[in-house]
Amino acid sequence: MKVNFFVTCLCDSVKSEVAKKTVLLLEQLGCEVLFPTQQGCCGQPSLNSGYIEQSKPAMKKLIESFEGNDFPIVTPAGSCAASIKKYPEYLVSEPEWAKRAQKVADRLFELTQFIVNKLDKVDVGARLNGRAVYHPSCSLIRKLGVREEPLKLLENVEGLEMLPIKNQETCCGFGGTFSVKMSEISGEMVKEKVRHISDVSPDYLIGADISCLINIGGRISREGKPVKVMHIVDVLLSR
Amino acid sequence: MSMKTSDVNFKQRIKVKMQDEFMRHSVANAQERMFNNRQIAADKLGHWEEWRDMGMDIRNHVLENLDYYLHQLSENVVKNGGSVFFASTAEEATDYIETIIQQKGAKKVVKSKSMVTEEIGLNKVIERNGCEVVETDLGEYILQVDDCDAPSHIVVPALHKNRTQIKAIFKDKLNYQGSEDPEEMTRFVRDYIRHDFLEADIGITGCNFAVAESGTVTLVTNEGNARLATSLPKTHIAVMGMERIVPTFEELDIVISLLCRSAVGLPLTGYVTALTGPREAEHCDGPEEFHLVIVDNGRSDILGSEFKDILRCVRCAACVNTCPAYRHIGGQSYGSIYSGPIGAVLSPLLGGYDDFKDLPYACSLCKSCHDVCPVKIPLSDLLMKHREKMASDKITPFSERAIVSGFNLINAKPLLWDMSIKVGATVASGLIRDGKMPLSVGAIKQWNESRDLPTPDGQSFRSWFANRKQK
Amino acid sequence: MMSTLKDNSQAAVHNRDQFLLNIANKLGRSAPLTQVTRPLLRHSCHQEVMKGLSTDQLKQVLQEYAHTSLGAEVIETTKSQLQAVLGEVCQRACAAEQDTKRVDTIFSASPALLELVTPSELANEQHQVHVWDNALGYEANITIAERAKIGVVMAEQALAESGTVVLYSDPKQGRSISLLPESSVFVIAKSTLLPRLTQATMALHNKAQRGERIPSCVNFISGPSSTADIELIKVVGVHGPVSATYIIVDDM
Repeated sequence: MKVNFFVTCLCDSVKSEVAKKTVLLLEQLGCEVLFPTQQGCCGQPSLNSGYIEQSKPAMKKLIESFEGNDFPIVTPAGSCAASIKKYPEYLVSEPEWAKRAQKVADRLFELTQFIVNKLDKVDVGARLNGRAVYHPSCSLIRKLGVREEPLKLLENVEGLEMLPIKNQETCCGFGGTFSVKMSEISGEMVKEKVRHISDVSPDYLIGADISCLINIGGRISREGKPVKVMHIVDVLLSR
Repeated sequence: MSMKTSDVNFKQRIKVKMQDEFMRHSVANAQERMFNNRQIAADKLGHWEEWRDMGMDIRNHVLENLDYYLHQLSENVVKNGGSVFFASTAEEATDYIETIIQQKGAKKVVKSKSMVTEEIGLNKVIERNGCEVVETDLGEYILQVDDCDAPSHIVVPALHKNRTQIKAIFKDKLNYQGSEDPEEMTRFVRDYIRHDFLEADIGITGCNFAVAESGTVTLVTNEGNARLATSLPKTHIAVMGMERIVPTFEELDIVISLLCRSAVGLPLTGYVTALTGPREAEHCDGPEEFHLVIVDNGRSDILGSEFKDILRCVRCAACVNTCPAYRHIGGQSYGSIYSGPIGAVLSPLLGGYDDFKDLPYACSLCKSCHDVCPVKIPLSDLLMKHREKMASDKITPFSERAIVSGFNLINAKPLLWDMSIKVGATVASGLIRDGKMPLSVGAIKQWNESRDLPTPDGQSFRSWFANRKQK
Repeated sequence: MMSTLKDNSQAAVHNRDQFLLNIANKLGRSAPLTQVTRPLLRHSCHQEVMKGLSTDQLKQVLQEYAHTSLGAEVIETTKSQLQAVLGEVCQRACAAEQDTKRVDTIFSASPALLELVTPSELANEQHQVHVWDNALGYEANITIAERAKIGVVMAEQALAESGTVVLYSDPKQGRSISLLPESSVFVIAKSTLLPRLTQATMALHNKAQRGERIPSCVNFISGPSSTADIELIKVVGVHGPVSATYIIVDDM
């Protein structure tokens, strides 16, 4: 099947490997991946700070960029997917645009959600030896309701042992602009997260949201901890 | 004290508070226990989502018909021999109560824990009439004795104090000679203020829920102080936030069941006391006079606004017990008697943005509070509404607005965006070394406080994809 | 501005009209509502809790909960044995007293209780027994209750789920009996056992619907008083009673 790829600004600019691997994985699973080049950022940096009105022109441009076809849209970031899914609410005062936003939102899937629920696959033939901790991002579990899908995929990775940690579902402290606006609080939250992860001495930290991984990874690096940070797509392509 | 508890700015406050190791340790432990107890109680009851649905429905129905139910409540209170004062402002409420103090020549008031009475700054007003006020809830008593230290949690106000500190306070102020054993200190307080209950002229309480159909005021407690304060003194004054009401005893069952489990993990607290009017003529113990003071103080404005969902709140503090931000900064950091997620939404609404503009940003929007609120208040959505308001009212810093404008301009123009991404990718790979940039300012500097910057992958995705397509 | 109160003893409503009009306006109405249809509750899970359990089964639930979670003593007895059981409870309190210091007990004057118990027969040199006498007035009764070590009351109902005793204030059973003495003894007729709060609030709701005045003080009491305000450590016995004993009368 044909799918559109929503890259997200972080993956496009700084973490392109995640984006590339997502495309490769989707192709491996039988999809033809299209990349509508007019796409921009989901707008979280502006939206999360409350600048809703100002963000509307960009929201509309993003909607337009995906209206070239009716195929599903897949993205490797839960927070960006959740952000776009709120567009109909933000645009409620412009019913035509709200309708268009809803159509796009309905076609949009986070990667693991897409693989498990739309492609009906839980085993992609991956292999990665080692002990790992999975970080479920707040957007994924609480905004999109995607809890089981990443776990199912990780269960089927040969050689991989998943370890529970304390306060596993607690926020890592990224929260978009929160991480810089309230860096003191965010810093303490990510320190606590890394402490809980380190307590089980894993080889890998795996997540499905690049923003959380940049946050936790940034702290792991600062502390010099020997934990490799991997996006789930890295894991799923491991052989 | 009034709602506002600090004149120091937010960032300064949290800097100081986060250095208090005991407080942070204590708060983290308390959160874990209260969160778990709540979950255990909810699981034991079963069908918790259905209970939450009913809680939300009841509270919504009451809010939509608040004028009707308050009218019914007041009629029933008067029918049973009580008086009702509708106070639009804090000052109206304290004026009315002050009049009672004066008319009775009251020398002593015993108070049971009530946040709305703190909100309206009641104690100061009583005391200026030469009347002593004794806070009888143990946590509130400790804070009062400690020169009116601010509460740090809605349900356990002295959470930030350890037994050693409490012993020192009692020794210093009350000449306590015993050990720091909590049981011994509690017995000491029981004995120390026993006579206050017996001598008090007036008992003042809050109101967890009023019942409109009967003119009843319900108090949910554990210590017995509310019972004493409402049975021994000749006059009982109950102060009530105007939204704290249910239509009938049938709904009372639901909200009390939700409250007790959400707050302390119990099916019911030690005492759930339903008081209806002054005592009947034939009874000999109980107050001869009952006054219900119904307080607006900004709540009606909230009712007519996009924030009205916050008025569903039952003050259980379940949201406080799950919030990761609260865990690290503690309740006093909020600078308000209302802390945690509920405090971050409510304080700016009741107290204005001048004093509380930082609170809505002290949240990573993780939404764990949504999961635990017994009446399903979308707390982080309401915090977002605050941010939206502050952005559109231009209360946010100019530099932030400038950056956001720039961002939105570029993001709305695909060609500009395309260019920015490619430039961004190049700049990042060129400049980020070992998690840092040569120039560390603004957001980069703040990020770098606790974290390294990510290691860039080099070329932008879109360049790679475009090249690949060409091949 | 504050309203001038001429006579505090006269029940009155102050400042209502403007207050409620303001609320109506904020809710988009030009005048306050005079009629509202209360919606049915969406679910019925509260009525399903322990549905169909017999009073004996409810009694077991109550016993289990009161004992393990509330630290309350639960004694089962019969009508004919009630006097003896109460005697034992008072006797224990006397024995625990240092230097055989005097122990006072105050009994509720509830007719249902006095039908089965003759409090004066429990008196002896050490043990002084009082029965609540409304006619003595507030001061006298409070003085006795405050001096008393034990207060014995008759429960209106008991709730199995939460180990709760429901007390209605009454001229024959003052509020202070279960409040001032250090020990509370609750006599519960097994037939008044209910699954949970739902049934007890329904009884009050029905009363209100019938236009009856709700007793000025209805208490739902679950165990002795407690607090966790110091370091979240539970301490039993704060301002209210320090211990609680539930006596369930099987054939009542």
